Amino acid sequence: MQYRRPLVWFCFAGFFLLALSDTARTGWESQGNAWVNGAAMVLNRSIIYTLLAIPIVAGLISEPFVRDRVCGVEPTILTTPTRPFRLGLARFAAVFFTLVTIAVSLILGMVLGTLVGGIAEEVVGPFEWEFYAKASVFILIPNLFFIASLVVAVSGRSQSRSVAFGAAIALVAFWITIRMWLGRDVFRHDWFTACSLLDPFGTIASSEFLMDQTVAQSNTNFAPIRGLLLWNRLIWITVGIGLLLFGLNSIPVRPRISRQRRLAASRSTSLFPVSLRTPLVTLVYWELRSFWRQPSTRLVLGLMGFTLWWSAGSAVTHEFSLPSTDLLIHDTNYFFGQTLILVVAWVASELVWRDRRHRVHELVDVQPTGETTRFVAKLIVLFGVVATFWTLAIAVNMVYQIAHGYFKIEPGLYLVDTFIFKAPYYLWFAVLALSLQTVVRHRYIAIVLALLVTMSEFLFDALHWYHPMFRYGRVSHFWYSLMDGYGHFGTAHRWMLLYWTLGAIIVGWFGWANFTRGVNPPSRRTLTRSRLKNVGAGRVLAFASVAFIATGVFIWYQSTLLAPWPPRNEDALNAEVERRYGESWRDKPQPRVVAIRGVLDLYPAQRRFELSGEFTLENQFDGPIETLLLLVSPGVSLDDIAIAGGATRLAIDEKLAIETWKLRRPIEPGDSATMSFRTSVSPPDGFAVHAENDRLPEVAPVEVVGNGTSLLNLRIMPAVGYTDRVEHKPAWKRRKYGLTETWKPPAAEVAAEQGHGTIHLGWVRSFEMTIRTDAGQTALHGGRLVKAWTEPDGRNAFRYRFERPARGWSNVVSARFQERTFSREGLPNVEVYFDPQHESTVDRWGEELQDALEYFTETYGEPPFETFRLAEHSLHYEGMGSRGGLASCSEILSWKSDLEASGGEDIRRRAALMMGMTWWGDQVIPANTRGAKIIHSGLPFWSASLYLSQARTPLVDRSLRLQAMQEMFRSRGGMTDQESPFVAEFKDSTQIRTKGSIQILYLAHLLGRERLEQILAAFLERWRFQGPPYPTAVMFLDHLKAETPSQYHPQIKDLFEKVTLWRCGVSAAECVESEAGGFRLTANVEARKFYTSGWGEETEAEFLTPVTIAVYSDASLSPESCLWTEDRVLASGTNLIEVELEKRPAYFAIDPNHLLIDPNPFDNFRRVGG
Amino acid sequence: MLEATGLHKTYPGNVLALEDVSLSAENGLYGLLGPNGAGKSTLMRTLATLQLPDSGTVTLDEIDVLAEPREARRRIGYLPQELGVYPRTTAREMLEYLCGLRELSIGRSIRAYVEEQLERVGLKDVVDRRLDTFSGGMRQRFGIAAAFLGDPQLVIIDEPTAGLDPLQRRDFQLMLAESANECIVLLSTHIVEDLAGLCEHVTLIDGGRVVLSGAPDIIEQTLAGRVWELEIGFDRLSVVRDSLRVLSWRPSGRDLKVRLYSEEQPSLSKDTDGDLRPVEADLEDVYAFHVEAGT
Repeated sequence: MQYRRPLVWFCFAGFFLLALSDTARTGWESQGNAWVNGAAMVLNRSIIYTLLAIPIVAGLISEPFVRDRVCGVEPTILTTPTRPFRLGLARFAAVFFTLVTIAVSLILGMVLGTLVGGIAEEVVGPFEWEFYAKASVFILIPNLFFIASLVVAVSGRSQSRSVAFGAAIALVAFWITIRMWLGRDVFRHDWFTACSLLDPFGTIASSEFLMDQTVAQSNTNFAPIRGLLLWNRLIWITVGIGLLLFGLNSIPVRPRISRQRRLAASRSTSLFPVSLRTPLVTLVYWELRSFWRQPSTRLVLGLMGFTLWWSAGSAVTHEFSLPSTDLLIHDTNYFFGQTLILVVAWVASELVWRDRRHRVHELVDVQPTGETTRFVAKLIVLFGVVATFWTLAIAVNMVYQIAHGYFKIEPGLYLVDTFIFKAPYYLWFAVLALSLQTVVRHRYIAIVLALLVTMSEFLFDALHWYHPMFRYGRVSHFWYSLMDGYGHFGTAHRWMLLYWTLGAIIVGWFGWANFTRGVNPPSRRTLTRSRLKNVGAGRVLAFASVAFIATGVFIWYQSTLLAPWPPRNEDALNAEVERRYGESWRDKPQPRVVAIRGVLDLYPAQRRFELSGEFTLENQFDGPIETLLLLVSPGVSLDDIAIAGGATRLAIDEKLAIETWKLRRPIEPGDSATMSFRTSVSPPDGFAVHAENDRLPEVAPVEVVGNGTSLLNLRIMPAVGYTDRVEHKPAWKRRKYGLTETWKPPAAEVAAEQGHGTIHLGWVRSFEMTIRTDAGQTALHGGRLVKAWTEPDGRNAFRYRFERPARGWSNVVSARFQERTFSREGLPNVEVYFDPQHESTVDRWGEELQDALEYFTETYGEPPFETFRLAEHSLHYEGMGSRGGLASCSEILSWKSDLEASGGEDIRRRAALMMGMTWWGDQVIPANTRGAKIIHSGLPFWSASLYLSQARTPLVDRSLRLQAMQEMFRSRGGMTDQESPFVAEFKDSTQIRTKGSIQILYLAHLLGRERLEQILAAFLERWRFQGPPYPTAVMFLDHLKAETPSQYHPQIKDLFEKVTLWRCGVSAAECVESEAGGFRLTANVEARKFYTSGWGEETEAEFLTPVTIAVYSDASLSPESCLWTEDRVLASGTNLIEVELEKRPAYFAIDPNHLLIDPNPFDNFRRVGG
Repeated sequence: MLEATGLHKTYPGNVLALEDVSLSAENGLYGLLGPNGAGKSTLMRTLATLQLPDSGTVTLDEIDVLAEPREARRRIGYLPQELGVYPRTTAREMLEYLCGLRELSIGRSIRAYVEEQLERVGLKDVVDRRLDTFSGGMRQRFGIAAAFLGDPQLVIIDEPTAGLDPLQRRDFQLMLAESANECIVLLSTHIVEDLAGLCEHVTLIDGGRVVLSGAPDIIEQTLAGRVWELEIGFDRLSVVRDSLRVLSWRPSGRDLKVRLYSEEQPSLSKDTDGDLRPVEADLEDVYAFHVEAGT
């Protein structure tokens, strides 16, 4: 019977196409080497598909359990001798077979999706049927079974589809809640086991295995069914069986009769007063009240509230933030939206089909209320549902804020952000969902179609059709900035609101036109034609269509011709630069900028700037320089170039913004020449429409915003000479843009003369910048503030000058700031420029910056600035930077920190990093060769890590390190390029920063922290303001080895010259009382070491690593509870450790402080038995 | 006055539901009699504006029901064949809801009006009880209250007594008789008992066509002198049916009382011998005569 239902066939086709298109999309978008048919991908996709299948399963499974009642054959069926249990079981088996067929459709789609054209070869691995079989047996089918059982449990008893769908939505809400419990950006690892077991779909449990897998391992290793995943599967299959048995036993043995309590008089609620009682009001009130009375409505609302609460709780795990309004509303939309879509789709179907289901349609249909009134009433009810859910979200978030002692509640922001920016999408979706019901005339197919419209965005992403004009109901996407508000993004939003309002009117018109009453309605065509005969209705459709098209054309013109977004494909442009200029200019000597003077006019209100600048160019090479290559960042206009001695422009490449100039008088070796220029950026004439999934920043790095601008000066000034910064390094990216597959770093002799990252700059001996900005704003720049004044037109002006050699780089920040100065004797002042709304953390920032400043001064010598400034910038720009004594940090990073929850650790960490970055970055230029990232990114982070390890308490230090290690391994499977040993790393700083910050502590443990600091300080002293030739990673390692006993050189090799990981653990620990009255502890510790290469292939090596072994008297593993500790060089494999102790031990640990990079640091300690 | 002329309706699959059906009615109780599948419900739904005919016209007090359904609906009350109820809804709430939809301007408390309507159908004591706890009879009574809301000019009642016990059926008939004083009540049924003695006018419909129409006593007269009653044993029914036109039969102790149609006194054979006597034709005889003829 199932196979007679169009819905079933529709589901087969739908899920097949979903898996097919999703796999193809993943393949098209794939970066790196993660196979679309790899083990991890198949596993993850299977889980996601089961989540998407929840509402469908609810519809399919509930049908045979409510069918008898709905069709009125219940008495006939129940009077047969078949037991309801057996009947239910047979029906369940039949429908479950349908679900298995759906699973097969999914698998088929996934397999065939890998064969779609356009997928890069390296992301399709060999076909392994085993992955699909395991995914089906362990994930897909058990998950579908559990969902089906749950539906049987509720619909078998209630015989209500509403309750079945309510349970399905509740299940989604429950799953989201579990995910929230675990935390979003930071996992609460102590809850990991509980969350893994509570997650019905195995998402968290499977991540236990996946989280430390490399790309190569993720491709080939299917998560073994053991540990948490095994328990998870067993628990939920058992729960599923229990629910199924319960559901089957609950099937009524006789037609459902009203329970006694229902016979008691109910309290009627009267409708509105007569004067207000129009049919529209009556209908709306009636429907809303009916929904409110449904148990499933209350169930879903309750669970949504619960989920929202945990969503709010999870949001604040981001940076340990205070529960600020902007953060909560953002997070609400992220998780809440999916459930609301399901609710709207379901309620829309109920509104259309409920009267028929309850067999009151004829009684209602015969009433004189017009079709328009009835359709509009249903629409209003759906809008009411959306408004109710959003209001609930606001209410829960507000209560959360108050409950957590946060009283800066912003009701205005809640209302505006919710009902102007977030809710319209759901309102338009409501129009679509309702209209599909009336047009399609099949309840479940209409639901599926509505959901497919939302899921079509996956396909659009794959096709790179990001413009929201193509995506029903989507508007221009951006984040609300506390500093900049909705800034300049509002215009695009308003136009898109109009566009989709008109679109929804058209959709709604067809919904209305096909809305009819009675039985045997005329065909859609007849109905639509008859509606069109109504002059008013025809005009509405015509007007809406014309306006929709006109608005679309206008938006298209504005957002793709006048203000294209993305403004340009920088990756493609950079590839073009390499292709056209790399070969001929890569090794061509170009003068270095040694002096910079500029006047920068910022006009934040107009979102534009003009910079008049002058470079002093010096020939630091052996031969004369006759031609110059000038580049500017995409979007920057370069004009008025004047070079001392005269020059002629040879060529201008307008597309790439590159000019070549012929000098009338060559710059001789050692000589210099000045070059003046003017650059500017103005906002485009049109307005940019942003897409949600285009992975692009909201503003270009050279754009100015109304409040909170942060620009890197190097991006708004021209660069002289070719730079390898434009070159793509990852192989997949080079292939994508048609470049030679392997990127080659510059030759060693050339590289030693080039500064990494700033090839065109040498040490800048004179650097002065004057910045004028809007009245009320403060402009900041690196260097010393020489003068500040107000221009006659009221604009504020500031002049900054570097008093020592500089890298020539600095951030430029402008905003409406408050400022607070922190002074400590013997140290430069620390000035914090902050948005007035973020006052709560300013003192902590000042204190932590001073502490870090003091440490760095004591450890690494004189600071490279006269005053250290920290400024807050809008979230539209990248996170954080620190150059020339000016640090700039996004408003969402630590400024809203919950000091009580975080202990201020995040601020301390950022303060340390800011000091590390400016200390090393402003004083040492690394050579532009392999390993440059060690000096460029490693040393700033490593020195900060050394500081933090002594500034924190040991327990906090260890827990944060554990967390950092986890985060590092979680991202391992998603790496888009092969990992290199630090000494060879040129392309990516991520591992050097994260992993290196832990490894340096291991080295500090071996050598002693102070000794290591001395070694680093000596290196800094040696290279401070030196070069060229600039220092290389090899020089650093040579220096390190020279200052280190040779016994530690193998470890230095493991840390810097290999990609190494250790797998340590305690497999057994027993203790017995010894004859001497003490305690004899025997433990087995596992010790293995691996070198990884390529995409993460591991090769085992001899362990031979000194590692700490310790015994503790309690679970805190604090230094105070340490009974015994020793560093030992263990051999690979199982090592037997025997220790004599005076006190009874409680815990035995290997590497208790997590100083070795270990994918599973949680087995490093074990409770002592015996 | 209700005037339907030349109604024609064919369903997909070439299923003829109505063929040139015409009827007219003034205030009073009108019966529409016909077997299942005769087209009664199609006609009722068409008159109730729930369905459009392929051709034909319907007017109600000079309102074109097909062209101006909304105006017509203000004057029509309808009790469908299958009356469901919303869950978790009381009788009062449901009636208030329908009052709202009918835009009733009653100029007084809607609450009192609703209570009055429910009292008329004997549901005063359960106004605040949930409809899904009502018995079949209570539901039908509630349906009557709903159909008569706002004093409509035409009340259409489709198969009203299905599921009612004899007592409830009589109550129901009484209720209809009382309510039909100032409006047209169109009662559709296949149970002759429901109409007998109740309706002032009966229309017999079969195969989508009007077979007979008129006052019950007049249409009964069409068979006057041609209906006979024969008392025979159970085992002889089939023999009688083979030789005579049997209109109906019902058990009478150990025998059957069989009503026969015959232009003259039927001559009985040895096998069909029994106690034969002429009887007055009733509506059921007319119904059986025409329906059987149709089939």
